[in-house]
Amino acid sequence: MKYIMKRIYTLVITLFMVSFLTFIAFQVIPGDSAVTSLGTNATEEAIDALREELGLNENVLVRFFTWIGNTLQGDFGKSFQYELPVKSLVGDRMPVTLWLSLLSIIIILIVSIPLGILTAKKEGGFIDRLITLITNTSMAIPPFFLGMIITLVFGFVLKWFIPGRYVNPSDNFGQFIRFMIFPALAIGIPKIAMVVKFLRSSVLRQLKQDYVRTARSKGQKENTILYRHVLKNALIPVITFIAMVIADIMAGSIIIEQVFGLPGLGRLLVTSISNRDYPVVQIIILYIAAVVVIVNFIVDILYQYIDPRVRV
Amino acid sequence: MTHSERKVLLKVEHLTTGFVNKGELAKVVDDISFYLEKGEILGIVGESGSGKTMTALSIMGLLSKEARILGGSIAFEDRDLLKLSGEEFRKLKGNQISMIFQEPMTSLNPVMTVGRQIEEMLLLHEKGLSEKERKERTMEALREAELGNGETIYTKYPHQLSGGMRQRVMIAMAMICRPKLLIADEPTTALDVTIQGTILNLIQSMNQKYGTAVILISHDLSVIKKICARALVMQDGVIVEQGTTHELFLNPRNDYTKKLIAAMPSVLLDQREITKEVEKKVERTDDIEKIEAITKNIGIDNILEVNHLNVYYEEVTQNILAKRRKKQVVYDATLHMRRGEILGIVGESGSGKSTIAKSIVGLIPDRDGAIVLNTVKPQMVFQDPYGSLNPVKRVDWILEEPLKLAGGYSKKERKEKVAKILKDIGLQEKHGRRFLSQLSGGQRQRVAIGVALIQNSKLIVLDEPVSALDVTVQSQILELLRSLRKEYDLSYLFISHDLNVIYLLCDRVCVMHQGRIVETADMRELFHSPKHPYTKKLLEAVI
Repeated sequence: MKYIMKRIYTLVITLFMVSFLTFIAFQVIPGDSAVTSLGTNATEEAIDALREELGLNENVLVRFFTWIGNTLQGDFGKSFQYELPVKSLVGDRMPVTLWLSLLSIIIILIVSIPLGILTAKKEGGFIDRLITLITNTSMAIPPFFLGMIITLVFGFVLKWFIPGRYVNPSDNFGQFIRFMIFPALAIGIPKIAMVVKFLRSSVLRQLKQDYVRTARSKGQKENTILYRHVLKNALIPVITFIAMVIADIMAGSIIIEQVFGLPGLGRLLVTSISNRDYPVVQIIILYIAAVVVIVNFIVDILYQYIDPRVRV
Repeated sequence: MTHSERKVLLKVEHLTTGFVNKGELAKVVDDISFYLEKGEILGIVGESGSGKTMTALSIMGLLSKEARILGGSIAFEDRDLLKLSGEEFRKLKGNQISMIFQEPMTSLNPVMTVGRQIEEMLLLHEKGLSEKERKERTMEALREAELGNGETIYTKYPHQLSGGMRQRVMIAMAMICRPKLLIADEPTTALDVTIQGTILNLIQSMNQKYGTAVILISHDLSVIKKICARALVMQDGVIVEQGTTHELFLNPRNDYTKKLIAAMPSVLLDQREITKEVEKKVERTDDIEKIEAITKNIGIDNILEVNHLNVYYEEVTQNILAKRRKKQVVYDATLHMRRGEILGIVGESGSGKSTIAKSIVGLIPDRDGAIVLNTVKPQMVFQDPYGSLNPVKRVDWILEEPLKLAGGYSKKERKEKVAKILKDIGLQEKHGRRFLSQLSGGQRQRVAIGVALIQNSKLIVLDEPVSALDVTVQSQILELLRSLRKEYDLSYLFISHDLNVIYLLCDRVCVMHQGRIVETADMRELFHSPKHPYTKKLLEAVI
């Protein structure tokens, strides 16, 4: 319990620092939202008036703490660009990104863990070499390029899905999968390759450990040794790696949403940054940071469960 | 079938095991034959690389993928193990033949409780036991291995136990199915000296209680002598001598066996041998007095003085905001070293002996108390030269580097100095052109000593310099240290967990226990009349 409290406290500090840095970043980069929304032909007075209205003339620290105060009370402010509450803007798009990330993580896990074990088991054999070849190739393909190929082949040629369409899973789950599976694959495939490689070498390393020899001396079957003794040990480093992959997916989905024309946070973030729509950007970045920190938190808890050596 | 043949449990005939690498054959075990009677304890002794572990792994069917059995037979109760199917053999393992290993630290699965790991044996070989019965049996096995009432150990993970306790767990596990044969491969080598004896006793009591035959493999003759009735001596994959242990020690026939016994720590030798050792020591004491006389003239007596030294380590915490806690590892240590002296520090792992050494050479900043050195920067030699010297550089480069750093030598002078040092440390010119990986363990340690020597320091701190080496190599290195001391007027601070080695080399000893120096005495005095109870315990463990 004490441990969890400590983690929550770390979470709050991290989020505070991330939002402060984003705020500062917007101060440093040139251009502001008043100019962007009125255009370069607007008069000085009009820009000044809008600045006043948006509260841009205030000191940066004052603005930061006002924003923090409002956010804590659930008031995320209004988008400069769309003149809509940030809450509804982000709220509409969040599920798309969340589902996309979740689906790709599931795909990565269910494909890469069995493949990793299989390649380690068949080390040096035909299957191992084949899978290694495929993973090496797919690791080298950038996700956006893979996304373009998938869109072209499955979207335009085979017409298995319509790029840019999104169906809520609660409305029609089958359709949801149909439209989401391809972008999720575009994100997942290169990551699958990495996890397979990582797990394979981890299992192989564990198989050389002394406790495996002990298990063999007990007369244990090779398969049982692999699943009962080796796997849990081998997964320890892989969990950390998967946590890093998840953080990466958050960033990766922004590009993939662009490629597939999905109405997710990624597209919103890109347009908001170029329009200096900082209330929106702040919330999205805060959300991404929170996800990364929470995933790490879950990993720590998992470690506690899986590795007795780090138990507190 | 004669009576004696019926008693035979294991019969190994013409066993040849080796590695096949790119069509080339490297035999590690070469045509060996021996037998083991029921209930007997047989010792196999030899240095690393002599093939003793490979023999054990061949019997156990645990050879790595690269190794192959090239010929011969291994008959266990009239069944040839080499002709069994994988499945038939698997059923014998753990059940009829079991094994314990050298590394108790890594031989258990770190993420599984001790109880479950032992129960796995029962799940495999005694099907039909209920969960409760299994737990009961496991508890009993733990109690039998002298692990308290078993209850507390049962739910523990390996990392929560000490090395000795883990080895007891391994024994409990290996014995739970009452096997007919137990193979113990260097079961005490990785353990502290005070624990070694108790583990051997446990193996012996298991043997007496259940009539389990034991093959005890060790590089340490004193271990073999302690519990084995009969022993084999292996060298380069061949059995060079076998017989009853008593006979082997009394009149060894083979040269190699003689060499092994000669290299054995003196405390185990008979009275005659000890007197010889003492005579040697008297010679050395003379040297010291000479050196002392010279140094006294100059007015400097002690090369090193350590007064009230306390050393701390910072504890690592996850929380960056938490106050850093310090852990004290050395408490109020005071010692001095006369010029030309060899001072030993003996103690178990974790007693703080290496910490003192590191503080003296300035590797630990977090300390208080005074360290006074009457010499240029002291040099240190570590246990593992392969880890402490750069493996991608040639030996001559490694030796030359400190001279380059010191400056003031021309290239020619440096080369000459390196050549001289190479000769002094007993290596040839050709060794200078090699990499560390191309040298043997003893040669590497010679290089490490050379690196310390080339910097003209009169004080060399040696941290377990021979612990990783075979006994015959050990004695060669000790001999080298002695002759170098004479030639270069050196003083050594010699750290070891091994009292035998300390005895062979040192003039005086500090005994360390839990961060404190509990006793400092002249070598002979310490052996004849130890004062501190811990010192007594250490000595008992050796003899």
